[in-house]
Amino acid sequence: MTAYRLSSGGLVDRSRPVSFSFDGKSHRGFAGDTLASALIAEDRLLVGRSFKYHRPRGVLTAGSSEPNALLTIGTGARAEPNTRATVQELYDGLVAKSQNRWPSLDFDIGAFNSLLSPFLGAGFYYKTFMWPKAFWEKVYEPFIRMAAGLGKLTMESDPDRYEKAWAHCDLLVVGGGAAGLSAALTAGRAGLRVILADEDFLLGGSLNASRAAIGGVKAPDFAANAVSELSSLPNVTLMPRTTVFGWFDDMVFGAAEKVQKHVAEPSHDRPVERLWRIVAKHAILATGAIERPLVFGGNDKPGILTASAVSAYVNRFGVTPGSRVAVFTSGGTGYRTAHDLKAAGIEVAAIIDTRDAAADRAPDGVKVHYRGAVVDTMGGKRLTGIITERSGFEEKIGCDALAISGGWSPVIHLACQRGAKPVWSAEKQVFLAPESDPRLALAGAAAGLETLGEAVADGAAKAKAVLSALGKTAATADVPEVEEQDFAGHQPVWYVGGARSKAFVDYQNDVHVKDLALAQRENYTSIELTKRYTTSGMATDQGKIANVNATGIVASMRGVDPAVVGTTTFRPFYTPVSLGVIAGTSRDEHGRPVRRSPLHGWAEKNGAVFVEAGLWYRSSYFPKGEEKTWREAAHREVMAVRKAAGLCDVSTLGKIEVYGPDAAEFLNRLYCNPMLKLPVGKARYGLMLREDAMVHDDGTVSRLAENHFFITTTTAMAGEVLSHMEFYHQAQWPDLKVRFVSVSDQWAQMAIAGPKARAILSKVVDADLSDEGFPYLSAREVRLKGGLVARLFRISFSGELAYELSVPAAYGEAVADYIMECGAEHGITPYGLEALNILRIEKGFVTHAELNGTVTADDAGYGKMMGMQKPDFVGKQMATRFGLTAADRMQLVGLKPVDPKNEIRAGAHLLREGAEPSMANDQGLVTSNCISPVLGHPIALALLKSGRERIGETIIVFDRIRGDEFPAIVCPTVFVDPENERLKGEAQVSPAPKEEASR
Amino acid sequence: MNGPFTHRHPLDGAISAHPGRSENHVTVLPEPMVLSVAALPGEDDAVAAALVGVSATALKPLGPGEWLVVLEKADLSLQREIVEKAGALALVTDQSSGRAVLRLSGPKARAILAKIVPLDLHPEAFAIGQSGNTLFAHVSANVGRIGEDEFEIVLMRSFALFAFQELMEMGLEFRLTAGFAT
Repeated sequence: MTAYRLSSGGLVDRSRPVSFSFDGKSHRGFAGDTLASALIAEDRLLVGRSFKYHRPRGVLTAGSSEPNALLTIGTGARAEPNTRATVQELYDGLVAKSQNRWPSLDFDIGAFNSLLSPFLGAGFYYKTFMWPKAFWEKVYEPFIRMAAGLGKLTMESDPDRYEKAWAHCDLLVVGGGAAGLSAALTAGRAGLRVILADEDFLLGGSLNASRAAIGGVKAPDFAANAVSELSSLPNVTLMPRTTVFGWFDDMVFGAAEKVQKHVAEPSHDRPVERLWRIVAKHAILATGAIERPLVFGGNDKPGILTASAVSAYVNRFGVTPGSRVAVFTSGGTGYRTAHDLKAAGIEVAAIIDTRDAAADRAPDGVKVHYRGAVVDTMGGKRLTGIITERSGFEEKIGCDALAISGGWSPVIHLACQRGAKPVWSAEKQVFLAPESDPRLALAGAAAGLETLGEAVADGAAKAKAVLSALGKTAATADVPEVEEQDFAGHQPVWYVGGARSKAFVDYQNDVHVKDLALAQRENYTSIELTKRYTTSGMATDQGKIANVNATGIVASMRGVDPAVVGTTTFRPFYTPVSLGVIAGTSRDEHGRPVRRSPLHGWAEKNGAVFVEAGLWYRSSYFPKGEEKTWREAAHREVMAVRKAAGLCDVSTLGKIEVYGPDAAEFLNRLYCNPMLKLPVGKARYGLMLREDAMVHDDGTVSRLAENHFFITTTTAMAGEVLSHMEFYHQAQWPDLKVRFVSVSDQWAQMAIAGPKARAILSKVVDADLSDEGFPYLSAREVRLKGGLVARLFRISFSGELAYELSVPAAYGEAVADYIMECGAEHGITPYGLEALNILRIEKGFVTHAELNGTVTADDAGYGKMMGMQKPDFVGKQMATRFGLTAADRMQLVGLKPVDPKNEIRAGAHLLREGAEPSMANDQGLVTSNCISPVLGHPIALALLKSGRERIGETIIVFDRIRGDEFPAIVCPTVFVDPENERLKGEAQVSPAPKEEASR
Repeated sequence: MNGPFTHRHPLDGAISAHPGRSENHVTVLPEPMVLSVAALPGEDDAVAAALVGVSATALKPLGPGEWLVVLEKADLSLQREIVEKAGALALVTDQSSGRAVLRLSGPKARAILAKIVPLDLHPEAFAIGQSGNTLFAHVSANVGRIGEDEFEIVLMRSFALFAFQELMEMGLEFRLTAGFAT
């Protein structure tokens, strides 16, 4: 360690040395240091290069507003760029690297940009890289991105865990400084459920950097005592290392807790960060204030820090940024820092005060330059001196650090994130938050108060107001007395004239005063436009340091009051929040909830390849032996269903029980086809329309008893159909005595399809399955052999003799296993979604590929199904409107390529022969396609203008993306067994297709 | 009565990854009984009266005239009683196969749940016998307090494994274990 580490003082634990590395060199600090304080102690002032000009930069602040000291922390997959060294807690084994420099921090080639700076002013990129347009993405952007920028992200997967959590409280106190601790004590003692959150790892805020005395003890001890009392209260939760970053609707606050960001090897049992949603009845923002730098020539050299940062490093961390420190101030803060330095035995070179005179008293022997200005600074990687100017008299003052203070800006960000605009206080010369919600109050420095005493009293008062709003009374505890030397407020000086070199406003984005001037000259005068044009306030610090100075400077340039200029808009997040903590556990396999069918285990055993369908994992196909593609497997599965039998998991269908004396009437109104007279024990296809007459969903309706129905929906629409039913029952027909409940998860459902289906199921089901005993469209409760109660439906989505069997989900896997066993001798084959799709396309059955929300029942070929004689049903009124019955609407047809080698692909458009491809000539589109294993050539379903009139026409299938353009024949939608002979099963199949026989 | 068919729980195979029994533990009911009872319009009171035989922690109101009855195992006489008294006035549906029922207990039960559900679980806001339909790690669930440090979680079967894995991950820092009730 160097002489910059003071021999005593501060809150660091000198008995616990900590080693870390910076740019490959090892260093030592103490527990309780931040990375910034440890670097300063090691005489490492230069910590980064600026964004645009690659200027050497050092630590400016001691908190989260830091614009310069952005480092990459950690290595490998754990490397995290742009971490502010001023808030990074030091830990043993910490590895830090500087950014935006090459080949090294001390010697950075990019600093060459500084020489080009006359050309690199605001708007340079907009004006220069306009032409040619083809260069935008290919040349200019990569080049600019390479030259500019901050740290680089690792491309490795994050090895750590993140969590999200909710918390609830009566009072959330944001900020653990003087006002926050005082508010939490008052509310906590009165029994409120209080949460106190602070971004620092040590609660206390500015108290930890103060030499004042509160209630007879030193300020840091007062903070420690308050923390210890608060942690003894069961109704109070303390959340250090937690940044409240946003205020959202319904008094919900977002906060990010750094759980293990201060250890080299985080434990896997705990997250590294946790995202909190804090639901608070009331909140007090005790977020303090940010000290503004003064804007003067050369104000960005390493060694120039804000005055409060210098005080924090000296008082809290026991380090000093210099051995001979000058102070440049527009108010009392600089004097306080001068006293802090003096008390720590550090030489104060001079105080340069912009005011004409001041009541503030300088430490003995320190010269004060009133009406003074710093116009330039000297030194490269560390400040060596400053040049001051008073009425034309220039003086060079040697110093190795400079404490600057331009006054204080209350941290009102959270209070202004929901639309409230900051209000300029002419009296205090600061922006304050207006009252926008009675449940949110600001206290202490955040409310524009200047002294510790005021902050402590204000915190208690604001907490008492919350108590009375909640009908509680405060315990009578005195607000402690604060003994502190009085310093006067600031007289803002937005810009210190006479600058000899660049005067930076936004350090992080390298915006200097001349950039702001250029923006005004070019008429980007609104502060929002000034911001975008110059990028002032757009960096990761979001202008915490820059914005109020920018407003003040622009106001001066325009000759108006800062109230006229206003501020830019405050939005979450207050400080950058990692994407990891926003994702929480929603990553990898848990990126979305995983939904599993009760037959998942059965499918796995049979070698299924799964596909995500919504949240479901559905079996897609079951490859066997040498099969390499899904198509080989699916074609085998299709042929097995057509020739023998297959078993398919259809458990993902939505299933709803409907009950009540008006159940039939309810369903009759809900579906477009008639349901009133559906006999008990029978199933029927049901088509549901929306109010606009477009098809909403389709499925089956089964009547289990007079007042009891069971309906199915498609997998994708299960939730929507239930909501649709709730809406019509609650809002349109509340008089109907009917109730319905989803039973989607209760039943495992499997389709057993194929000519052998009956023979197989007869071994499983204890019922007569003959055509007489269980005809097509039967739906009944049955018992399986052994007594298990099940439901059997004779319905088919494949065109084959088929059944759907429902059993309680817990038995689904066992029943499917048993059916496979019973069916083995008949060649039963598991089939998946791909085969299911081919089977239904061959039969011209529709799914949501066809029922895409723009298709009416008639478009889909189901026009005759609509029960127009019914008094009403959802969609009836619109279904008769001209536009929805027009002859040139797109109608569902089948397509076959002229050349069977051409595969028609879904998404392709249809054109008349010889027509130019254009929107005007568009005739329709292909909705589904496959190669029919039965026919041996590609087939497709398509929506075609006036399609049903055009059977036999040759049409062009056009797909520019995939380069397809070939003729196809329009044909009926049913490709296989148009007479539905196969539904009857093996025994009934005619030897030759009827169609041919009749010709 | 169910013949050759073995009962499968959705957490079969997943639960063994969390062996033992620490003070924070998830007890999974292997074969619970879950009935949903939904009264016809206007019959709420009559149906509620038919449910008086169900204990406070087993009866979960889901909405107006709608309840879930959750029992540790099948109680056929209670089921018969409910169907006899309320069967004509309400849709009574067996959901025993469609739900997984987990009981989370231990001194950190509330802290673990705070990471999964948005409900305020403070005893003043969520007393024994109270329950609510809520978001549970992105899926819907019913969560009820059945003891001072004990919560009952009713999950949809299809989401049970996902939700269980999330729950166990949130319990890592408290050494959460899991096992079937014996």
